Amino acid sequence: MPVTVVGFVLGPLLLLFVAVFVLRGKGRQGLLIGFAVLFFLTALYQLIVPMDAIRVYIPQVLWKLITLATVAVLFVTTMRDKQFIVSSLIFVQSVTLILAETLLSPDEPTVFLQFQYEGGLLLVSGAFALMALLPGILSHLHRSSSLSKSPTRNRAFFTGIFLLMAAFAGILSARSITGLFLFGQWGVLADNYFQKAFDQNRQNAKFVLILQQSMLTIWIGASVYLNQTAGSLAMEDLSGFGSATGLVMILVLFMVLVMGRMIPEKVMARQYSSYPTSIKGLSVIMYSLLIPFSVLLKFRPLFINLDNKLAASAVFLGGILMAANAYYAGVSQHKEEILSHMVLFVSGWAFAAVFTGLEGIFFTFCYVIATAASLPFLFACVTVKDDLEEPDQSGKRKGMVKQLSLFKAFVLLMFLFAPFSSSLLKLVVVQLMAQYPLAMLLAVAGLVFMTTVVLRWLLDLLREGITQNPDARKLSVFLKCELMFLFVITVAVNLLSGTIYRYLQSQSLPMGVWPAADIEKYASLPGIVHLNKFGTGVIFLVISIIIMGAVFIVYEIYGREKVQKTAEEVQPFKAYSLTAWLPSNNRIFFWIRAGWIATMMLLVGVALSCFKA
Amino acid sequence: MLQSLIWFLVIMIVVPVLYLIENFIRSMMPGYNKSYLLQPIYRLMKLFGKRGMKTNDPAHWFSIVSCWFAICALFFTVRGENILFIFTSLVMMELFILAGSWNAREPFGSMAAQRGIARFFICAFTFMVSAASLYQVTGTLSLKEMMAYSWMHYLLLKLPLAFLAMIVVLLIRGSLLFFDFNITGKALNILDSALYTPYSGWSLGITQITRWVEIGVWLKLISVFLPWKPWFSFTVLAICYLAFLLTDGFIPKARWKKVARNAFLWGGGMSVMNFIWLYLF
Repeated sequence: MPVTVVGFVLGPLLLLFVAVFVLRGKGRQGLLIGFAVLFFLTALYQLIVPMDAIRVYIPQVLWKLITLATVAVLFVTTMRDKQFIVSSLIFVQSVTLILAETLLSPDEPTVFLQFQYEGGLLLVSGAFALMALLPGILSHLHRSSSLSKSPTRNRAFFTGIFLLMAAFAGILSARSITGLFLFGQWGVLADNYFQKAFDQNRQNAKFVLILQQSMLTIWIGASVYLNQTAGSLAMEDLSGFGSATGLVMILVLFMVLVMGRMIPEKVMARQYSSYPTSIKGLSVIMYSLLIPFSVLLKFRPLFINLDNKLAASAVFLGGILMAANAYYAGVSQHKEEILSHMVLFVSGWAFAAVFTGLEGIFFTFCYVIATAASLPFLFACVTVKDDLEEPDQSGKRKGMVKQLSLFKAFVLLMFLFAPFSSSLLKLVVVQLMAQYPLAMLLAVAGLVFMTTVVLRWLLDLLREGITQNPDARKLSVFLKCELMFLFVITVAVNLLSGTIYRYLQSQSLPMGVWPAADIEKYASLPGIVHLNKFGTGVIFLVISIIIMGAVFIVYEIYGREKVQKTAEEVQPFKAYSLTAWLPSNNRIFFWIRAGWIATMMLLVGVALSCFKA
Repeated sequence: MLQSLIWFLVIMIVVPVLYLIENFIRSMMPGYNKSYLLQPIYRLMKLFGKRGMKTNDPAHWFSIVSCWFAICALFFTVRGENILFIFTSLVMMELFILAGSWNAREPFGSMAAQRGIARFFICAFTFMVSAASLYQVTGTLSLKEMMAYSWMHYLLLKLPLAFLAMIVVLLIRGSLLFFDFNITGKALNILDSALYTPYSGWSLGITQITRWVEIGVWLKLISVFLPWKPWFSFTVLAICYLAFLLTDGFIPKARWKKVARNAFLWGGGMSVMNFIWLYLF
């Protein structure tokens, strides 16, 4: 397998050992900075110049040993933490692994790890997210006394972050079902370490952990059946299950939903409540957006020629995810919660789009990447702002920084302004979901609600933008440059959607050439892919930006002269609920819960009915 | 292109003319003050001659951006572009209108902006569901192709409720139904009028033009449902709108939450019913 891929997966693991057992204090931080920069640059280089020529042979027995070792470590860890239900589940997993190896000895694919067309792009997005959130992470390390004074927590934090990156790269490049299990367990382990580092309230976390381990137990058990039926553990070979295809699809969907924490319940987004914003952002973008989308794309051969009833139910579930997360974003009172729900909203769209055909995947890819570039930037801005607003030594809270508000406002504008690919969804949702009316209705409702949430937030940001607080803390030069750099990249990724399309067009897929049949129809959308030539979209974009820029400059000048307000006078948007006009006894939470449970039951029912047919 | 430009100019002229006619007819009715035919235009010109109030926030510059996006929306409409593209331009327009009010730091302005957000959600939902119904019937989101389809296949017969829902949106946007964000300050509800109080002088003038342009966009968009030639459909709809302006008796004196619920039930409900109907029959 390509040596770079092995480096992406095993490299962070190696650095983990160096960070935990060799380095201390600043050394660990230096290693993390170096790792993040190198990870991003290598991922970018690997995307531009694929380095598949240099290959390294790793015997499959090594992966099997690593899998067993991971399960053993988790078993010991959970026993130590007295999580006996989880321990018993992990025990079942290890017995299954040992029995499968002893009795069947299934062959792993020759190439255990390899990036396909989707992996490379998503890896760069994840690496960018880490880069964007790194200042926030470092700032938290400096400020948090619990992290700096407690060596155990400090170690747990660094173990978590390196494991997270290894798990991320592993899942993106995994080619086999057991590989997915292995890297999924790494992800769970990383989360476990984060919880230790940030003293997570274990009650909620326990429930999710049990859910995830149950799913992984089912997954490893099912892998034996899949191997026996398909004759291979490779994901691209998983097709031709006949009447059992539906059940296999449901297994994959449930795995994605549970491991990606994509169940449309408000409590799922609160899983990271005690995490600092930067780690929260990194976790939610990786676990709930990039990884689920990548896994679904890997199983795309399984979803082709799927029974329409099954596909419709799956798309409907995606619609519920979108609508539910838009609603939760509307009723959330914290900015990082809103951002988390925005990520989950996009995940819902990605979940649905995988079943809508090649066009759906084609556009969703660009949308996911643009979102994965924009939202880390917003998470980073929220982190920096929170840090700046922390009470100083005298206990006085200082005001916000104007530039941050305007930065955030510009990035949020991309979710409304048509020529940016972050707002692409608005232009394609109706066309792509035309076959699934109920799901489309939900998706449209969710989209409109999310647009309203963004609009409300923008109003607040524009208001903050003119608040001139003489006591406001200033951004350091480093932070200014860093945020400016990230801002430029975020805007560029949003604008260069045409380039991403061209990259995707040049890739080939096992099921045929990538460009969909109707691509011309979609390519004529104004301003989206016409940025390489002079068209309506470009004129609209350029003039709009000039006018908005001019107005913001005037606005800034007037604000400086005339407005002298303190931060306390700014009423945050949480003072106003978007659903204030709905009847007070509305039980939307109940209906969302009823909706997703019924849809999941329907999915299982339809899959079982395929046997009868 | 020439045809588009002519349409653009016609719509830019027709909507103010509708308001001129309304004003003139009203002035001849008993109980109303006498006014000249060109009184609204005179008022607009006078606004541009005034200086903005010193106490106002610099946010009145936002009226320029909102006007730009309204003009873009009109341009895309007359060009027959993707209707969702037109919609996104209108979203941007609405954002900057609301931003002005939200920035005013007046309690009434903030409350009006919050109601404006509720109105935006209701109109956006109704429009998006209607757009989905239109796509289901015509197989396209291009306004130009929709017009061609409507001319041949009587779109109105397939989408009567979506048409009514869009009329509801038009009336809500024109402050004739449910919400009453009246720019002239004649609104019955003092809270809703506050949406425009941060604007004064030239910025209020520009906001007035933005509103006229927006009404033109909605008239042109909704005229796609009517099965006649585009100019005739537009004329019929413009006359209907004038009739609505003259009767102007739709504004209920109700609490705003009830108003929002009613708007959502009628606008959103009808568009959803038509959408479901399309799939059932």
